[in-house]
Amino acid sequence: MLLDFRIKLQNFIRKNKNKIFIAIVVLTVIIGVNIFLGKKRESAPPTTSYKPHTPIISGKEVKSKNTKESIESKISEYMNYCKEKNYEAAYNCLTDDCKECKFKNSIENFKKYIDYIFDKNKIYSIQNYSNKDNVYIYQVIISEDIMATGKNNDKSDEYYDEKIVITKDGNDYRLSVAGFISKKAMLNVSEDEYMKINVEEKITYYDKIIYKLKIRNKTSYDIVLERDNEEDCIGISLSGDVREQVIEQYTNTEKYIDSGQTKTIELTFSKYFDESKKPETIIFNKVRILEKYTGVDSLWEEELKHAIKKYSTKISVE
Amino acid sequence: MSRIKNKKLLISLIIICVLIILIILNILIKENKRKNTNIENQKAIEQENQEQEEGELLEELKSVSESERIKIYISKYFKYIENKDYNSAYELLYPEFRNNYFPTIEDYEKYIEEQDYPGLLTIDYNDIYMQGEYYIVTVKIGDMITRSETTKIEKQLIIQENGYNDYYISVKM
Repeated sequence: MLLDFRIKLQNFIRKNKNKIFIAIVVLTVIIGVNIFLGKKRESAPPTTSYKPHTPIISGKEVKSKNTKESIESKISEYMNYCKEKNYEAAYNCLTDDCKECKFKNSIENFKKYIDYIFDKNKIYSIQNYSNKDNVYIYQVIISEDIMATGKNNDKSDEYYDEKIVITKDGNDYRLSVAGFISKKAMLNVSEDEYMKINVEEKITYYDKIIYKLKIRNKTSYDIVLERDNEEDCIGISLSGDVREQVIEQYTNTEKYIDSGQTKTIELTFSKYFDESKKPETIIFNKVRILEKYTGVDSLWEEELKHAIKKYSTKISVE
Repeated sequence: MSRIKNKKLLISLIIICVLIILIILNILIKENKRKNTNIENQKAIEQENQEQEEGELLEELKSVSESERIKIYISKYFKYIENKDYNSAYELLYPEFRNNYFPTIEDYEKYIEEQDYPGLLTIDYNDIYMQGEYYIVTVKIGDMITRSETTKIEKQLIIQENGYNDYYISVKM
């Protein structure tokens, strides 16, 4: 009986060896995949709602693992230099434009900035804010090490936050800090019989843009664009929306050009980098061509009465 | 003749005594070995139970939501305190926090005793948010027996999770 069974078994195997082989392979693959997935599930980290590379304002998530790691590594490197007060190494992480525009190419200015933020043992966390045009903007929150202190200090709830911009520079990433994003030279020109306006530079921060304008007075008269604390003089049009320039408190906002002179002025406008509205024109609402401008309040009405011309003009910044 | 007989008797007695002693020693050694084996077995069983419990806890942690996971960690911490297992609670504290505020276990025990926690605790979770990768949780600890609302103790805890069931806690005191 046993012999019979053995013969039947051998015949069965001989007849169906291909099917048996395929079945074994399929079974092995299924078991292998199962084990692999099981191991993957075991090694998967706990789920968390902290997604540092998912932008919370706009843009697409940073998907590439390499990019994520490079960004984290660069920010970590910079933060460690700051904590160690290795000013030069931290300074060298910055883009040249950031060094120039934010710190006036002075490492001493940079040191003061670092010392203000990193006054004690600090930790940081990052959150992707927005991604646009290959520019990655991260919000960085710097606070005391709350795990070490348990938030038991008076100032435990205080934190410093700013935007850090990461841009690719060849194979490396460079940082721009304190909200600075970029500097761009411009060649926009507007000219009339009284003055020639050159827009020379645009400096973009996360929450504002600054235009540097050179204005040449072509006449023998004085040109007044804005008196101190005068409203509705200078604005910017963004996709049809008009905004006044941003004025620092206690700053003298007077803008005038003496006859035959050239002056460089800076105009600051509020605009978030990730806003969809685009700057179109800078508007000078109250251009006054005067015989003589003294700047004395009591003489202003009289000077205005004898104005050669009063008009408004604009210059494209697209 | 009688002397030889006595001698033979004596030798026999000695042999019997030695045999009895050997038997008794054997029994004692076996008993000791059995006890040791029992202790080892018990330890092995306890370890197995502990591993099984940890395995079950791990499975539970993997199956629940993020906030539930954090609540489990906090619950475990307060369970240790409730059971006066201060060593285990102490081990959960973030090392630097521990060194800063409770350099020794005695300091920690003293702190816990000063909190005057009820014998049986209830925990209400008032708020949970993240600061970077850390969870900041505000809880209210109450008495399971009296269920009094007015005597609840509010505490804020900070949790750093490094992996499933791998975490540290710091406490705002």
